[in-house]
Amino acid sequence: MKKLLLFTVVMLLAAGAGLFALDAKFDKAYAEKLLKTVDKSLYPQIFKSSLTMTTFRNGREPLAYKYEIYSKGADKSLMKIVSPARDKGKKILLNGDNLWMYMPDVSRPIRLSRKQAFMGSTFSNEDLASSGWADNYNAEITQQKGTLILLVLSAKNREVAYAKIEMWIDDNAKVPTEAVYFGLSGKAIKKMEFSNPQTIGGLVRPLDMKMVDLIEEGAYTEVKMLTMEELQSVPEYMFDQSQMGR
Amino acid sequence: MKRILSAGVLAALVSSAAYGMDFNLVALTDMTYTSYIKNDAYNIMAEHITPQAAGAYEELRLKAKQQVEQVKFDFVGWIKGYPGRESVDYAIDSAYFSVENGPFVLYAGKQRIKWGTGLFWNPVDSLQPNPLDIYRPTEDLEGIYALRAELSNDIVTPSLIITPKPGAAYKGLDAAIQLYKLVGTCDIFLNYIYDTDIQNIGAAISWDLGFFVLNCQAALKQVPGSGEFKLANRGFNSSYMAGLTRTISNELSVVAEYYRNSAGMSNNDYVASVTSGTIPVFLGKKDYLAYTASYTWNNLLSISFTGLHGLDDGTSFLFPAISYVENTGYDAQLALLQNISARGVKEGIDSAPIYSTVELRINAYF
Repeated sequence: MKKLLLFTVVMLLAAGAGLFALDAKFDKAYAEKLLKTVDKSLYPQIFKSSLTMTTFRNGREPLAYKYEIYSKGADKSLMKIVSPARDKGKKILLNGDNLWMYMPDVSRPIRLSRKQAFMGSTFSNEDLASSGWADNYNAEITQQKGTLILLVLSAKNREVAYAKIEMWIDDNAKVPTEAVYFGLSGKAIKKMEFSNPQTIGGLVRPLDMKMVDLIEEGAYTEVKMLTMEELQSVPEYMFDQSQMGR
Repeated sequence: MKRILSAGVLAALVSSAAYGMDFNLVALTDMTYTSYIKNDAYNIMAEHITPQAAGAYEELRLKAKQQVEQVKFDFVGWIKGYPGRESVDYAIDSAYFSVENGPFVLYAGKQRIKWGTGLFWNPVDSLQPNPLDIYRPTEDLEGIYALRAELSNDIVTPSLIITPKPGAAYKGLDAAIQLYKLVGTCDIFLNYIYDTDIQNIGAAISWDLGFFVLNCQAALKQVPGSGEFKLANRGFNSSYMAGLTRTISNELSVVAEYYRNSAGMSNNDYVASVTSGTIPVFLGKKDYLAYTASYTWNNLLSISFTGLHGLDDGTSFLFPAISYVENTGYDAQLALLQNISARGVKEGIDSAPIYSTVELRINAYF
């Protein structure tokens, strides 16, 4: 019996070692480079896209929004709400560490906290308006499962929405498959599932995402990319908050 | 009444379809029950109208946009009907063209121009009329006729405005300029308004400090005192507003603002002015405090609590409200406006004759 138990433990350890052993190439430099590649995959440098975002909650009607997004570089994004009619015309602008919302009835932008939830969804404003992780997070590879590797992102400062992100990445396609987000308390609060990878602008990009709220049971938000177009340029005035009323 | 509303909706739909316009309709039903205080203000009001306890109206608001290449047209207008009345009220809040050429944009027509960084008060902004309902400061903004030019650039974004002086008789043109600059996480505005009645120079900031957003404004106003008016508050007056916005969680946010209006009167100034027989131009009191807290529960119900306090005379109004917000096709709000200190104020005919108002409002969006 003892032999059997010992054998089982040894086999499990061996399997675990084989399963989670890291290739030597997965060092700090590789991790940082991979994160930048993932950023490029998720967020082209200059792009225009349209997407739908539908939030589901137990016992509730789904809450659906459609957005049009212009983005430039890692830190400039303008989101316009196309539907529903109640919120049509509202805009969210991210420019560096600044975030504003424009409401047509107010006729001027209002500053928002970057950590605020976005339009009743399980996303934060930063999840959608942000155009990359590399600027705000340090990366380290801690596990490997075949072609999947676990990239652990640690926040460089406390001004970001999440203290830590654990992201599983397909090392061949260089796209994320799943990410778990941790709050400042260290507790896992959200999980993102990436799917439907398509080649756009020469890179494989996951076009569908599902953000699961790990605190509220049954709550999740699905994002489906309808179009994504890489642009040559977007004029700077689009990211000037005083021009959000255009 | 129904025929008029139906005709309005039909006309909007037909014209929007015919010209391929992008449009939205908001239908609103509002019902109120008001109890009054029989003070001097009530007696003055009762000489002109019969105060009604129960009130109601229906409103249709049309928002339409059309773009042809670099030229856009923007329209917001509404019609409002009341029970027992054949006629309707109507207004155009904004109807303007804009022409864009890269970073340059020119607006012409009736448009909303909202300056300042405050929710309740904006002392730097004397061009745009104040909101009709201070408890819903984001609503009822009627635009002004103006020509406005803006040039976005890295150094500073100027906004130049020329507007005809509103009033019964043509009194010339007002001009205004705003300069905007983003520095770090701080929006900085410099404002100047040349107005034949009140000149206004000021600055406003909105600064994200991480823990909260700090909104501040300061303005220096020149109030004329010539003619038949004898004003205690003429000459140069300074005003400022300081406010904090704090998002405590995804669902809970708080806004608090203090407003110092040096052009206004203290309670003693007001009483002295009335008893001396001069005609005061009432530019408000000197000190105000307002706050609002809102909490959205599970994206189903939104609860808000707003307070407005006149620190000079002790007037206090509270405005709690609960809204059903789950369905994006419609929402409903039940609100109470409660005057908790009206019996002690000294303004006479300028005091509020309302003790409380219960309101049910339903919006439908198309």
